[in-house]
Amino acid sequence: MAALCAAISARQAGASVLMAEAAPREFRGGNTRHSRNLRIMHAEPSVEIPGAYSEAEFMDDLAKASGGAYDETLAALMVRKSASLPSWLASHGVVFQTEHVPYSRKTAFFLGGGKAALNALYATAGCLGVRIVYGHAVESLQLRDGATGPFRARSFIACCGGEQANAATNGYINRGTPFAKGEVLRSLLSQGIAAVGSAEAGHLVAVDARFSGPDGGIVTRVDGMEYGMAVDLAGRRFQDETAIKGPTRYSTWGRLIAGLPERRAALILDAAGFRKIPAFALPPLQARSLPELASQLRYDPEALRQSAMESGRVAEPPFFAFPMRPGIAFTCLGVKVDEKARVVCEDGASCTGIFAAGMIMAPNVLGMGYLAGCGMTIGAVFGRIAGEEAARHVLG
Amino acid sequence: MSLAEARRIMAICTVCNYCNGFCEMFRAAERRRDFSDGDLVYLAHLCHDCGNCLPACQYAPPHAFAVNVPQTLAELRKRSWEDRPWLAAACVLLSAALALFLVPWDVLFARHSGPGAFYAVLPWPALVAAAALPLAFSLAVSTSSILRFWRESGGGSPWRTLPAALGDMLTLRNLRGGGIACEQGAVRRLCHTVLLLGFAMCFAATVVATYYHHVLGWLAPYPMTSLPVLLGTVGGFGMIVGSAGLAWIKAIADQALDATPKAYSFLGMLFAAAFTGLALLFLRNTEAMGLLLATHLGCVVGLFATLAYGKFAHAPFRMAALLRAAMERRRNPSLQ
Repeated sequence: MAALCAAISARQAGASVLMAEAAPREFRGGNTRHSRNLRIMHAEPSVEIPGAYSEAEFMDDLAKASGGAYDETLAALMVRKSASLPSWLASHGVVFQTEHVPYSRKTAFFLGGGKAALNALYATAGCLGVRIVYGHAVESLQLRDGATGPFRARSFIACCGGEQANAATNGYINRGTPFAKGEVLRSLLSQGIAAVGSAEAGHLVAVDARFSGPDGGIVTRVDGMEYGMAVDLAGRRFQDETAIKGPTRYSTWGRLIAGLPERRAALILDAAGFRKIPAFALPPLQARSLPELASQLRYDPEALRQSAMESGRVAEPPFFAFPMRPGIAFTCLGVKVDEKARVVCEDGASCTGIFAAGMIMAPNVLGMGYLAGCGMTIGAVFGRIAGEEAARHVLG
Repeated sequence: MSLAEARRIMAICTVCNYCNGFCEMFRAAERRRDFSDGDLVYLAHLCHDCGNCLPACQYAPPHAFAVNVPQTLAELRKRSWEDRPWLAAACVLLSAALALFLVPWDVLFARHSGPGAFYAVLPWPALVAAAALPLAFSLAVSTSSILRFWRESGGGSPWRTLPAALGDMLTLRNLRGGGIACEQGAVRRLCHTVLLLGFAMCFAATVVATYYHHVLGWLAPYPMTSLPVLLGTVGGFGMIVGSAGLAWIKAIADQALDATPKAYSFLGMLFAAAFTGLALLFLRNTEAMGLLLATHLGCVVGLFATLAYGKFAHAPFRMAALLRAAMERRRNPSLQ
């Protein structure tokens, strides 16, 4: 999203633009492929989004999500600039969906999801004359002369996300694009660009452990813990399942499971609980008795029986189990930027000609938190700013 | 195989649900968590094959989940009928051959004109029997398979939702892609409508002609400006344009439209029936009339005999699926 908005804006401002995409064409567009909506400030209903969402309310949500660990000036800039995104994106081919989606006054939905939006933006960028090379991972960027591999651009915009593709070594399943390896991020940081956020933090949710590969997106999430019990590898419960509610439940469970031995757990349901959980992408393990389920999971049957008694929600056979692991969508280490999306050195000076947009600079606005649809907004707002500023820098 | 694959894919689709703005198929899938075989066949027939969901899918091949909804549902749909191009071709050849063997050549290749000219070559009862028997057979087979489809996809009485569903049937709303224009979507809708109208006009021509024959006692052939001939001529051209257009789209489409030779058999039969019908009209005062009449009859017989065994069957299944979708919308207004 960030790269396309930057490329389109820079091209429209008169610059000649080359987009180097690390992924092959089929997997282009980073994590946007897995997204559905973007968060928009607006004073009144429009064709793209119902209701209203004020600047103050958006700022409040950001303050809460980030725990205050954010750059308020940049956050306010993003919130104000989010207002023009729906019409700007729509004028560049993106179609929004207002029917058949849950009522959401805070976010606008892409018809067909993020990949459909990407397809439209790629087509627009192509028509405008943006050159796109696929399967070209940029390994590093020389701050001194802006050289990157074979290219010597007069300006450079880094829109390459976090480094979640490396997180598998920590026992996480990468739900996002396998091409976000953080090469450019690390290259910038190693040359004295100031860091924001933390390499240790990331957006985690509980995912079905059987989807062990990267790129699983939204369908690998496990939901419905309050209808059964969540147990660790020893078969013991570690949380009152009914106490975790609301839209943040996914990430709460992700964090909890990340803190368990081997970062593994299982959701156990009985027949009654199974009927209540929402739709799932992969059928669960199933057994006629708890000991049989325990042997399938290689858990201690006695511990599982005790946990079932204690929870009071797992009694009626047959029994079901979803093995779980923490899935990571993005990491929270980024580069510091100023309000022109220029990267900022550790001494506080802005680098002319080197810009960053999207999740690579999202911790400036989000801290180490998560706010649904905000990643897209950051990408689109700072992508447009970076594109316009880069063109201004190049064309003088 | 295709049922298991469709079940795997629909489970992924209902959780993701990003495509539910595209068409009724995704909104019907969204209402379910478990998919019986009957559910899956229903969803397959609800899909109009606009193809929009494939390029939009985050899990489309080469992704490891390999979600290809249009192709999977198209394969499932094909289980509801089996194309039998050989049967259609046999009818055409047999009809021409029978005429050549059974009708004296000085009659078959003579010029006939005036009322009853057709029946001088092929007796009226033979014509009617040749067309009516395969039609009755096909209607019986279709009715039984549609009733089974209806039962296995949930049963219920559809009559109150008929008006709502009728709009979906005639406008092909679900082929519009929900807001993103699909590849050749507008041309496909237009060709389909032209073909359908053409077919309906030819059918109407037959009905009017039957009325002339039985009630008014006027024997065919009828004058060029008579109602049956006008309806048949315009309808015939419509069928030719519509079937050729749909075949052309099938041939050039990027998406997973079935383009195997068999898949062209129904379009081919429609084209042949219309083409021979028009040829018969324009050459009815020549020596070629006899053989053309037999060939045209063969095309109609072949078309009728394979109604339940080819792409024509998509029509009753699609209509039944749209009816069921309308019923479900009525029952779950919150999901509209």
